[in-house]
Amino acid sequence: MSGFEGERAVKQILKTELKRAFTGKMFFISIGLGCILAILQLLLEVTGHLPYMANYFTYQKPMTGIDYFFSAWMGGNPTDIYGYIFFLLLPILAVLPYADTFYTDMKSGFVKNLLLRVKRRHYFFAKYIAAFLAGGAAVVIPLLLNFLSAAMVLPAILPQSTSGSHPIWITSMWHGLYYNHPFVYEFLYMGLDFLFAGIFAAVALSVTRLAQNRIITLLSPFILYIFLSAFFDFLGQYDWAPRAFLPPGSGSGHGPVVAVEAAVGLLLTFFVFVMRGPKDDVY
Amino acid sequence: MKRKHIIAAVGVLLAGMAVFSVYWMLRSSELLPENNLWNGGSQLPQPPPGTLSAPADDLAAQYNIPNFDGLMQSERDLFSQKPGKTVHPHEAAEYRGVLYTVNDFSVSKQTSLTSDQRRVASGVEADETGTLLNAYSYFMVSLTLENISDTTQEVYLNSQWIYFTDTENNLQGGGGEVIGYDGKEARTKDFYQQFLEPGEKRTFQVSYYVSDEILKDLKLATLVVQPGDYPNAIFLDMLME
Amino acid sequence: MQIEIQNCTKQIGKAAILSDISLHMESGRIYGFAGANGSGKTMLMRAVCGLIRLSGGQILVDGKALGKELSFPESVGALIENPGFIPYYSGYKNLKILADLKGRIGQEEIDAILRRLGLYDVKDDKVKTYSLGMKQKLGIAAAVMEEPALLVLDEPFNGLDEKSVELVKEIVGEKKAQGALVILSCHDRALLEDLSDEIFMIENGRIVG
Repeated sequence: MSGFEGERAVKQILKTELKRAFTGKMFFISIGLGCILAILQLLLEVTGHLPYMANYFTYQKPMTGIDYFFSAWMGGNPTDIYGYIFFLLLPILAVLPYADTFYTDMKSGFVKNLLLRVKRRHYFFAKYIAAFLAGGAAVVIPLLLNFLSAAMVLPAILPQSTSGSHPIWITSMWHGLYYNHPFVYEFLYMGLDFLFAGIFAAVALSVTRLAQNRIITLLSPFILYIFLSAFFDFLGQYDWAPRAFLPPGSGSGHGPVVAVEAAVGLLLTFFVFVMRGPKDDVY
Repeated sequence: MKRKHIIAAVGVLLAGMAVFSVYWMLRSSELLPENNLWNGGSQLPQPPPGTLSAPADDLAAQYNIPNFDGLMQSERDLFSQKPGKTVHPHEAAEYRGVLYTVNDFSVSKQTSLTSDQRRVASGVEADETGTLLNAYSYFMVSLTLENISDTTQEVYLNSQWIYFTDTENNLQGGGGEVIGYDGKEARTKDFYQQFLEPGEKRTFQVSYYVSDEILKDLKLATLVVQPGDYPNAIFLDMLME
Repeated sequence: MQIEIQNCTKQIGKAAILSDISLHMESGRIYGFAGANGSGKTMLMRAVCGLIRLSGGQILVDGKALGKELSFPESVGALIENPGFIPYYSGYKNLKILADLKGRIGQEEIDAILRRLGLYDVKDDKVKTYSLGMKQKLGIAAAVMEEPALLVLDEPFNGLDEKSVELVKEIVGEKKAQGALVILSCHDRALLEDLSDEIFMIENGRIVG
């Protein structure tokens, strides 16, 4: 393959994988599941705050504070059942869109056709990127839907740290942002959720490379997620578990710990799948 | 290593992780906590041993409050344990450097508070003088606060909530929030804020709404100072004649 | 194109799938491989396509070592074992995805090969609805559509009716005439002899004839 063709093939395989990931049925199913939770939360929880707003305007209670929006949406309320379920199922939502396609490509034999046309490392890289991005998007889109919908219903008043009604404390990660630039906080946190969702999708890819079994592929990130929360709880450091710090309203999370976990997740999965994957035989 | 061995190893690892997770969740009761999202409860921490107050006298011993319908779990815990000090009129209880004493209490349809000093609540009807027109009354408490510390104390007169117990020993849940007092002339954001210098003693008339329905069978009114500050909250009991 | 297979071995665990195979192959010829199931034919084809790494020896394609200087032969079309496609995509879409990777052919060429192989009418149907023979023909279409210089066909006649077998023979003959190096395996000895310029017999991973 000439240099030009090689470059074209890289772009093309990336384009192909991304298109497969973002137009696939499972991508929409995953988003659909997340959006169902998002809409239920909006209709059953967020709108429940509206009568309190009426109180504020009619009962001559000037000392009443309204600080609901940032702690009322699905990601902002740590005790919300829909948010709880959403963040519990986060690894599953991340894996569904595209993480098992390496397995299906191998099983169907399509990978042979691909690897006669693109270099292995380009295929593995493109697959990794596509699964990562699709997994992240599938998790963040419902969060964004809920966040923006809640913003249309409740006022985005700056959270007051003295109100006592926010779960973000002085020890919480990015607490300064939350109380000064809450939108930045929420969008940064959604970025973090995107990152970890992508990592979970990448975990599934890595596990597929090691054990070509679809059930194991789909469940492994979820099992890892639950295991980490149990393990860190066992160590007395529950806050370090992704399940603890991924909800924006959790008040958990320590910057260095989150950074280390993200780095380890990215590096390990990249190494196992993208660096080592091309060395495998293709049957 | 054969492929099937690798698959087995990964499967065993994942199974081990799953087993540990289930074991730890069961052990830490995470799967079925006593108070959980579904029953909306919040579990109060247990007070250290020896801090539960025994009934102080015969009068207090009569207040066995078995019926907790309508209360939040936190309120049930608060009243069933009553970890802070319980006192009666003319007895003082200390909360964080300030002595609280109920001098007197009364019930009336009229009030001496101005319209600026009291607020209207949902369902309560009053005329321009503040006289209540429907089935509500004012429950007014003369409350003395004395700063016994050596620093200026900042107190908020809206941090004591009133609970009513009827003759059937039913405790009315939800707590009544103060609706006005005579500490300041006009309602502002800092209306309930007061500063007490060391040694300073001041008496305030704080008012609450009480429904006439409750009044019919009222046995006991309890002013709880800082009910959220478990286990330091103090209980000011007012027994009806 | 020239392919030089030098002392190739492939070990999986303790089993020697390929043992010390050495061959020389050139463009414009059809090389047939015969042997029982599990003899190593398919593994050798995978090795020539760069799909597996050898335990020993090397394969040179136009002087470049596979696995080192080359990931796979620059111009190769292959059908190895079962035809592999995305089952919920149409036959056309599968071929388009593959064709777009190198960008050498477009819709016209894809339609032409599908028409030639009698798949044009079902080109928009999902591959999972195809019969075995249709999938096999689609696999052949994928292998030949980009006019590869090296054509590797592992049991290409599986599941084909008589008419389709003749068609595929015709296509293979055309590729040879165009200068392609064709590597072919087939259980039907007569068919193999009819097509091949040279036949190699593989037994237990070794060339025996």
